[in-house]
Amino acid sequence: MNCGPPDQLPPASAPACFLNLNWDQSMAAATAGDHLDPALSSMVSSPASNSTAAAATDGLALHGISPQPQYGGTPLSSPPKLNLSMMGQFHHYPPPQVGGAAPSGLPILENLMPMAHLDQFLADPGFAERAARLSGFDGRPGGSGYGGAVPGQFGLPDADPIDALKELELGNGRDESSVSDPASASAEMALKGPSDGNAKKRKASGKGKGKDGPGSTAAKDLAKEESGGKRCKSADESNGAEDNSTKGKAAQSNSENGGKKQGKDSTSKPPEPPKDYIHVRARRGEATDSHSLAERVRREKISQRMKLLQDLVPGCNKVVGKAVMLDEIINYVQSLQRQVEFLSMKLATVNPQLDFNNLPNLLPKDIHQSCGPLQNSHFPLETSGAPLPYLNQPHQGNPLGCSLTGMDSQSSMHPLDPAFCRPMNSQHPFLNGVSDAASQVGTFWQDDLQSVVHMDIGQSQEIAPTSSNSYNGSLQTVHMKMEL
Amino acid sequence: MHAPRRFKKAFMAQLLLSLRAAGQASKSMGLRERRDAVRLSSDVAMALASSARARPSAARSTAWARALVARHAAEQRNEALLRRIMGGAGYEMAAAAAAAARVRKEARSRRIVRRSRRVCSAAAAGRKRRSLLQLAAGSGGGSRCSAMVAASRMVKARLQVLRSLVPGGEAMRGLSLLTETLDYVVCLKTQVELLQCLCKGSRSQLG
Repeated sequence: MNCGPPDQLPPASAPACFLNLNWDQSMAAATAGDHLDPALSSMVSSPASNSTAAAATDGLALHGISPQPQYGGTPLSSPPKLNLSMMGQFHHYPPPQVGGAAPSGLPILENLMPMAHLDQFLADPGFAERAARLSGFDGRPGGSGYGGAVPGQFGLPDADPIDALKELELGNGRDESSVSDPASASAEMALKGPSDGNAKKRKASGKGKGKDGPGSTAAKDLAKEESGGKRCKSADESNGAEDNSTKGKAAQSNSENGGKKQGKDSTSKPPEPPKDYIHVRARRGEATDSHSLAERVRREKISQRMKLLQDLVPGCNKVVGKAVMLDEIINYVQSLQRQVEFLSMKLATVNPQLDFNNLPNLLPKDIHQSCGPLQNSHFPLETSGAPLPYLNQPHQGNPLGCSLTGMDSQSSMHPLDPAFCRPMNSQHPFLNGVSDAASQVGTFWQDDLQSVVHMDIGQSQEIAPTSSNSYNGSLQTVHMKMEL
Repeated sequence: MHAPRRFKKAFMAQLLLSLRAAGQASKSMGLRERRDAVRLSSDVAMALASSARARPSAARSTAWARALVARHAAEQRNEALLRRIMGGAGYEMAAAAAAAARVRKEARSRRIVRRSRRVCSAAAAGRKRRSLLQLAAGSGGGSRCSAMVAASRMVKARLQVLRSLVPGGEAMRGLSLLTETLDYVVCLKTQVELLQCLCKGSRSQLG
């Protein structure tokens, strides 16, 4: 982990990282759906917790709402130790990720630290200048000094920066708010009060970016002068301000965040983990009070769950609409429950002793292994007692019932199941008697069967019809009743 | 989203254990009781396996598992089997949960009755005013509003059905209900799969 000061970074990596931020933001909407594997989604459900991963997912989800929060920086007046810690965090990133060279494999964790990146670079005078040089990146895809890899990354988000710009121009400081809304708003006001240059600068840079191109650099220079003159609490801060002037959004989020830290900040933990609050913004025209924001977060989570369920439930992919989707889910759950019922019935019938010791290995591949000579003791009982109720059905066609087909037709019994189980329940005492009788007969016949057991399995299947034939009469009466 | 293989294995082990417990008791059972025993033991196995899986990551919710076990524990005739499967302490906990659920339900129904009585008594006085209010609401909303109302009602009705399907879902609202449903569906899928395995295995054992 390289903890050196950030200006020792190779100059190429710094703007790339900036870019990466931007790219990240624009991809957030796309990745919100895709990267949500179950683990992460389960973490989403946790409220704004300390765990950084949860913060990451939340951030990811929320960035889908509006692109701006990624530009948040830590307060300008934050203590230097904060910067150090964030530096550490920043350098956690392996270089390729920082460079953003792999567009597809952008890790979600990247979202963790956008503020860290920014703040990191804000605190760095050398970077500020570099960023000033390169600051046209937002409006002009494939800007001046980026090298080969950059335009590729930049071509991607094309639509999104425009959105961001629009939002910047239109709703600057009025429309956005965060969950810790009042705090940030008041903080912004507070910052606006003492240094009016901040607001002016924001406006100027916003305009510059809106025009995109050479005009933006001019505006930036102007703003740099302004803010550089007005805000100089410390060297770091002034540098940060310069950088702010180069990037209107950065300035704004900086002031916001600074305000958040200065003002009463309930949701976010103090200095070290700067992201454990949920950062959510309202789009233009949306309500900004905390209740509706929380409601929006909730709705977002619900739609994520729905998406996951949609993946889970077969045939749900094509369906549009919440009600229809819920219908599908309900059907699926019901069918699964019914299936469990049927299977337990079948299991109780097929294997009345519920003795699975003999089954060699029940993981799917090994099922079809025959069980060999192990089954001597249980075999007669099972053949004679258990499958009888099911064997009734094939007996319908031919009462003499060659149940070689009967045994196999159990798989074809599935569709018959509901029709079969219901009368079964209603006829319960009667059938019970029969099955008990069957088991008795089974034990009675056991001695005879013992001699047969040593035959092959295929042959021993024929025992079943012979045994069932003997009380075929009673079974058929049962069956008559069941057909009612 | 599929259940991981590790979970399947744990589930299968648990299932075999509980089925063996059920098998010891099922010698004297009729078919239907045996079926219920199988059902119960597979359900309990599912619940136990899923809560065992949930232990490492606390974020996963297994309220449905507890509710499922409690639902089974609420019936007196399952006591012996549950004791055998889950052990004494486990059964006590489940039974306590079932009792608590029953108490809650009683309290809830009592509250409902009380409220409805109050409403009935107040109905005579407030009928006119309420009808006026309804009128105003009806006339105020256009077709868009009525469509929205219908849609939300449809979704609500379906959520209600879902709530009745997922064990323990009666106490949940939208988000947690969906989370529980997710988990429950995954486990149900696995349960079905494993039971099918067992059936096939038994059949191949038969010949």
